[in-house]
Amino acid sequence: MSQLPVSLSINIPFLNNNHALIAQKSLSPDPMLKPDTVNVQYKIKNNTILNIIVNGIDDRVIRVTVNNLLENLKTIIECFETF
Amino acid sequence: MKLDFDTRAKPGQKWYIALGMEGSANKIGIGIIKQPIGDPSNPENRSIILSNIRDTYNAPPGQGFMPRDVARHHRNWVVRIVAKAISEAKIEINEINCICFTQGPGMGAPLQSVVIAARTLSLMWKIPLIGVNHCVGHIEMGREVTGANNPVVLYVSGGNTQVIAYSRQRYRIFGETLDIAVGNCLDRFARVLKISNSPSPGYNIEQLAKKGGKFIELPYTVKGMDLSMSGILEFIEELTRRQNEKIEDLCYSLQECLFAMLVEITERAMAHVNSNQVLIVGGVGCNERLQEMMNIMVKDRNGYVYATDERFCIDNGVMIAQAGILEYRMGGNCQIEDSVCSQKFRTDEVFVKWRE
Repeated sequence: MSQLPVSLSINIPFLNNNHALIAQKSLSPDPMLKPDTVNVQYKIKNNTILNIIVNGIDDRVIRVTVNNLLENLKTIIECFETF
Repeated sequence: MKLDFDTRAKPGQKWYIALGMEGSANKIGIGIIKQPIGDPSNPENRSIILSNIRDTYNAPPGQGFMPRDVARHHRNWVVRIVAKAISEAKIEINEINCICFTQGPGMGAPLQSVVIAARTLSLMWKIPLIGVNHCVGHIEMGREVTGANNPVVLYVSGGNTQVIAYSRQRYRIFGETLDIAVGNCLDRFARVLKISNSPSPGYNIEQLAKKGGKFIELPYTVKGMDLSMSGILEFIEELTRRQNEKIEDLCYSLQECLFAMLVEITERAMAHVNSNQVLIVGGVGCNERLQEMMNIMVKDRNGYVYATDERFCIDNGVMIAQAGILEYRMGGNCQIEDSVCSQKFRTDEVFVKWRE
């Protein structure tokens, strides 16, 4: 396992545990394109918070990865809102 | 062997309803279909289309669409179009039996932007997910709309060019492009001419070609059962730069040359499998000149050409629902962990459980 010196943790609060779990399950199947430069871990904290930890080789891959995650989260939250 | 299509039907259930979500290229399509119980190959059990909504991302003239921009477009629309499709279909969410999505082949980012919504809806509503091969979606929709029972399939679009025949529960590829797809060749030529990408580059070339009539000889590159088109594109690009020929004549000649190659390999596939039916699917399939040329060839063989109009030729959600519902009825179920999309997903990888 190579060194991944940069890391970022984001916490996304949801209305309830079910929503947080759905978000985790919808995001987690997709593998990272370059697993040797970045990895992502998903955890549920305090029942309703989705905690995402991104470890990467530099700032740039972290930014790209997190941007993509947030875009996907927008779609997921829009689903919750609409239906 | 008699297939049982109704092992999953609840007592008293008369219909299956499927939601299809397609987003493998520059179009996002959501469709809902309803299929009665019983053998789907029986003409009385045809699928009923409840809604079929599509939105296309078009790049400016002279440019192609970029995966990133297309993904942004799909993300922007996906949830709204699903809501619209459901309200247009006048169904309740709990009536839906399965959510079908395109698992590949296609462009990675757009595919991924749609599958995220499919997973979320499947988890929220507790409805099974079904992953569908895009090419199989085209074939099944073509068969359903036209009633062709066992045709040789010519699948021609912006991303794919394949001649396919069914044999022993696989759609087998008889011939295909060795480099770029025929639709891609037309699209890129449209970029050289800087003509509009709306409604589609191929349509605009077709209209220009109708005004041309002088045949300019281009390389004819059939390689056995396969074909190659990148050289033709390069050649015609050079001709365009020299500006000695009229644009209309160039469009006409490009169409004639490409379509003659397609007709040739289709004819050979028909001879191989002893079939006299041809089904044309995919975006380029709505080109009337291609349909006409195919008709001339097939008439000599006393056969039929089946083609559909732009609603079903061009990528749409209904076709994903159609292929997905068949898979669902044969017991298919895609676990969330296995719902990763793939840019490469060959037509013959799919085990066709619903045909004998």
